[in-house]
Amino acid sequence: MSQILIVDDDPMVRYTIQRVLSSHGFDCHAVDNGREALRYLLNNVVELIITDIIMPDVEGIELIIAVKESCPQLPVIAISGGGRVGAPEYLNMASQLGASRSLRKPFDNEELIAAVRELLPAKPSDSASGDA
Amino acid sequence: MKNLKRIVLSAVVIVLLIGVLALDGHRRADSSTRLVGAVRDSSLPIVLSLQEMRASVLRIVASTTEHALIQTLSKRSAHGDKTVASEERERELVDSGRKAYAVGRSELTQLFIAARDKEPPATALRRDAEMVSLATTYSTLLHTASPLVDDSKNSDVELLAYKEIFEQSEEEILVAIQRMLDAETAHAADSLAQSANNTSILRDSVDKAMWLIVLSFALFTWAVLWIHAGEVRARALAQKTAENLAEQIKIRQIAETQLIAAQKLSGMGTMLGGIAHSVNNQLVPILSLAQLMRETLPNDSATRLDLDHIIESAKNARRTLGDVLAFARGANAEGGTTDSCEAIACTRRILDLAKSAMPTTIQLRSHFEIAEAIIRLGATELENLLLNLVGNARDAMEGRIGSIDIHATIIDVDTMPQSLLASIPNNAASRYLRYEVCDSGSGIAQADMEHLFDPFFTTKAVGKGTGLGLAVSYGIVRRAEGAISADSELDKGSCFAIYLPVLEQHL
Repeated sequence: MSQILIVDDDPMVRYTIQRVLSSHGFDCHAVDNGREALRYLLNNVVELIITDIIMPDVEGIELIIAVKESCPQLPVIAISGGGRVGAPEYLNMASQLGASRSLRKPFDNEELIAAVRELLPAKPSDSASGDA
Repeated sequence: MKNLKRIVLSAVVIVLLIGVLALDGHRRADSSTRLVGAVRDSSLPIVLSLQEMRASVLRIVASTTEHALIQTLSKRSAHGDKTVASEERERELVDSGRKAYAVGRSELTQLFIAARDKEPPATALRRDAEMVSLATTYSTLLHTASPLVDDSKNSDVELLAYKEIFEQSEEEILVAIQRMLDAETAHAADSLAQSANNTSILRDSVDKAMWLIVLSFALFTWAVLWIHAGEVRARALAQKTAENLAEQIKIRQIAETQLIAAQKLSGMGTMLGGIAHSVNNQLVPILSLAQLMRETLPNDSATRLDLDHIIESAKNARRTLGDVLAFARGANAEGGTTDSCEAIACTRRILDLAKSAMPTTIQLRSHFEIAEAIIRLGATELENLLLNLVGNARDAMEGRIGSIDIHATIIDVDTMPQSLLASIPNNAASRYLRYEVCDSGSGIAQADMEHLFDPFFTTKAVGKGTGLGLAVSYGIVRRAEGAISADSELDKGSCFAIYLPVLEQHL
């Protein structure tokens, strides 16, 4: 059972986040777009979502809106490499829509881990797996 | 062209006016001439008739008396000696002459009577004139022959002639003469009066013509002056219009230049924003995996040191891309920022920070002409903006001693340069906070001025600047719906002006 759902269309980013979080003892599952994420959420228990904003098909903003409607308590971390120029800043928008944290890519691992730890309910196994 | 038409029209009107006056004067002069001619024509037949008659009489008298007289005189001169015989002879001759004279006189009288009765005069005046004329001629002829008559009788000759010819008394003749003289005098007086009248009319006409000519000349002079004044006014108006037009064209050209520059920067922003987004994603594995690997290595590991370089480089790249995105967002600003700050309080803090980084050769001076103003810009962005400009000023003064002056004041939108105002898409503000950051440094070459706000354009040495400072400043100002401009002279210094809209509702 995955605890953290990673949503990003860039496979290298997906891999990196998974790799960093796994190394710190978090269970992760990664998908490449918002539609896949929503489908995954129907059949799995997820405790945190880390999502990119700009993606093909269903974008991060749409995903956040859908999640906040169906599971208002589910925390979301929005990540973005800049977004489309000319549009309003997506990270600000994501925060306004209910995203708990927003991180600009490339982020430091420390930032990511701190945000995840802050949003996930504390589990004794976290520190054990993180130290491993 | 219009003035030429005016001149031609005025000239035509004046020529027509003078022509009408001249025709009027000519007509009046003609009338006077005709009057004089009529008087002369009416008296001409009388004169001609008298002259003709006199000539006829003279011819007749000459033919009847000449012969007898010549004979008598020649005989007298041939017998010049005063003898008895000769005296006798002389008396005979005189008698003979007297007889001849009597005969001649009688014939002459008849002739004159015939002449008198030949054609009765049409008027009393003419009759009197003819009568006097005939009598005068007759008496002259009698005087001519008088040497043959006794001197004592000479005085009677004239009256006798009148009596004989006209069968009238002396009184009647004298009355006729007087009447004729009166009539002649009256006629002469009439003629003189008529002439005087004509002369007066003529003089009046000439006077009027002169006045009208003077008036025409005055009108013409006035028209010329009026046309000249109109021409001067038209020229002044044309010049003013041309100047206004030139000013408008200049403003428009500046606005177009700025619009083109803004479009160019907007295009750059779009492209750089896309690049920054991609590279930021690509930096994620580099930075994160390097940091992850680093955690697993011992502190003295050479690989860990290599990873530190990779991590540092990735962070530098992230910073650069952050600037690029700050520019890109500003260059394409649509909604603008919703942040605001107390500009003067912020600026004081920023300048305190800047002063600490300033060499002792450079004096940083601030001049705040206002107490406070709320602007549509976050404190961090204002800090970036001002520190960029102050940093550039400091770099431009490297190796020099001088000062950097920062002025802050509020201006009304009306006093803002038109070209700058035109470059702001939503220029709804009524007042702007104007910052001026001026240095006495090396200045900027004219050729570099148009590239000042281009991202990655720099005149600094390699490694000293990324060329993003002013691009970022531009982006920040644009997002705040303001404007930025630069003025510089080589080796004299540069002055950057920033205009930021003031939020009135906060005041």
